[in-house]
Amino acid sequence: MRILRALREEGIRGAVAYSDADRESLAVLAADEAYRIGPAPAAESYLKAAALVDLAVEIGADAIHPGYGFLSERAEFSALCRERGISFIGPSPEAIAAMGSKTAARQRMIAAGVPVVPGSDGTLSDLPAAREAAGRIGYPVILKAAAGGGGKGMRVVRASDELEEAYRLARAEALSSFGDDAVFLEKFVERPRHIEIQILGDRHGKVVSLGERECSLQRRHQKVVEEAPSTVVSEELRARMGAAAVAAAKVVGYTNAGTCEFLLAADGSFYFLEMNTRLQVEHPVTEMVTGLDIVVAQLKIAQGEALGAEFDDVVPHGHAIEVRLYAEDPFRRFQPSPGRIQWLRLPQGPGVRNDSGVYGGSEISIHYDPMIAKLIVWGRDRDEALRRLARALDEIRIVGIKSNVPLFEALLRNDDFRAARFDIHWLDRKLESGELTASRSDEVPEVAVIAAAIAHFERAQRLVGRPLEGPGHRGNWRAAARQHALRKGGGS
Amino acid sequence: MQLVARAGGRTERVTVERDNGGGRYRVRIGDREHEVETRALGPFVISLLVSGESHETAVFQNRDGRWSVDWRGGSYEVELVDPLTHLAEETRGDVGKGGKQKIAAYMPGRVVDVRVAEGDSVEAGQPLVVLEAMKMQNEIQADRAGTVRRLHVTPGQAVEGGDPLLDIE
Repeated sequence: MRILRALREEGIRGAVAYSDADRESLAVLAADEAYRIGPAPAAESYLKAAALVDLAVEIGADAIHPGYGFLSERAEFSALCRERGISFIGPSPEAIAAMGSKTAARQRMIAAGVPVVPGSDGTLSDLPAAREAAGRIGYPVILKAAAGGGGKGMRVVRASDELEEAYRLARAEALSSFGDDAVFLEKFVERPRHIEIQILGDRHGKVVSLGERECSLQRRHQKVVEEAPSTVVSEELRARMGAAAVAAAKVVGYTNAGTCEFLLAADGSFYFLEMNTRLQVEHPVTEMVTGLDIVVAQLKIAQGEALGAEFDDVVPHGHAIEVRLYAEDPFRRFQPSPGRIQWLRLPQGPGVRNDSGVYGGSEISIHYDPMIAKLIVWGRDRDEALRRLARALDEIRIVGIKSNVPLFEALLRNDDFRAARFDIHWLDRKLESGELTASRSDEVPEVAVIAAAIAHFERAQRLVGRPLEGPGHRGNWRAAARQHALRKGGGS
Repeated sequence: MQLVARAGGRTERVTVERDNGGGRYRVRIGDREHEVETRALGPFVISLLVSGESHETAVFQNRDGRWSVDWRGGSYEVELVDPLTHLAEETRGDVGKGGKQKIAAYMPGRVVDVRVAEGDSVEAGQPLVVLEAMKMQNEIQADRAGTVRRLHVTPGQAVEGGDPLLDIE
């Protein structure tokens, strides 16, 4: 939907390739054209690069926007588009590849003078190499998979006697998760924040920074809440981190939208982690504090336009917070809650933005992320944004599936969160300790008993065969319609 | 209509009467009287004006007959029985017992682990079965306390969405 909206504003027709599971998705309904690409499993549909490019050529499309996930960070896909004369709305295959391997990217950053976390500078060939690197860097260290992230293949090692076991486990996990058992070693930064910088690069060599996003609130390495700006990033730090991100992008000849992720240590030092060579889910918070449309910018860059002056010296205005609404049960360890949404009302009003792909009656499928919506609020400062978030969450009505709204309500009651006192491990710690729980009292409110009693009464009446009266009786609606028609002077 | 409501550990007498139709009712709970005006907004959604206070609820009846009410972000369970049934259950000492729980797979997957045996006593929230689906392992927990009456699956078994896993009473 996000991409379709930008296309519509630019007067460009949008075609959506959908899998069977997404036939009723909002994007398919809103698109100008829609084509089936395969059955629900991604491997048989959204990951079929050749089929997607074939489709684009067949329907006469000029460009492909890869969205988030799936093929968006596959260099081969960008290359295939280029080969077949389809414009890829994203960076070149060379830029994607350069940043795709974390170890290769690290080398280039070091060469470009971008600060990186002290590390093994390359994958570890064996245990002795790991020992040597760890000794040189100094414990604590962290082992990471070279081919992927999301917490897989990661192990923190606090002392040398833990290294052997951790090394073995990390390599095994990396192999099973990514098909590549290569691991590398880095200094483990205690309680760091995850700060990422949004950059845009045009095809004329200009690269700009649009400022930072605070993404430290993660549950098992998955982002849950994102904010812009970060409360701990001063104007000066923003400028330095922005410059580092721009330098990183230029080193690989980066074009279009991208994000440089950094670890920010408590002492203010920051280190390059990796670059995401695509549009990110949390881009709306940057849009809300800059007033810029990143997706429209992507389209224009892809068409060869130069980045205009509105992208220079961007400074955040106000504060934005995004929460990811998922169909999961926070009381049952975030177990997914797929199913049909019977009733949905998302909040609206001042400073509220909803980027959602579902609607009342649509189905949350088991095949993909069970995301309901991204809810973004903006306020003139963080306090106003927090008040607005509370108001917006209160307005939400979802019936038919469980959602993680109680998690966000719990966060809003938490002092650390309200004071923005957190790091990338904070949320996991609080969830594990049970400190962050939904407010559940065993008391059942009077309203609930009243509602149940009335429903019970009506159901019993229906079973007994009495004429239906009361809530929702069609007679009421017909009577009202008749009244309305009469008032309007006949006709329906 | 006279009912007995069991909710949140409390038991109270409830009376529901239509008040001139049109979605209006007089509801008495214990010694508290409420004038309620209602409108059905959708399949399960009801707007209630309780003495002027506006409340939006979603109301479902579970398979075991209990009512689930969603209100202001919380989900509450209310059991309503006729007074004679309540009296009989009180006499037998059966009040407040779990009620049947038919635990089913919420999506297709594979049973990785079964943590309980037939005859075991379980508590609310206790892990029962671990289901692997979409590359994730998910623990399925008991809604309420009870005794495991029947196990329908064994470890390694593949299940479809909706397939029964175990029954608890």
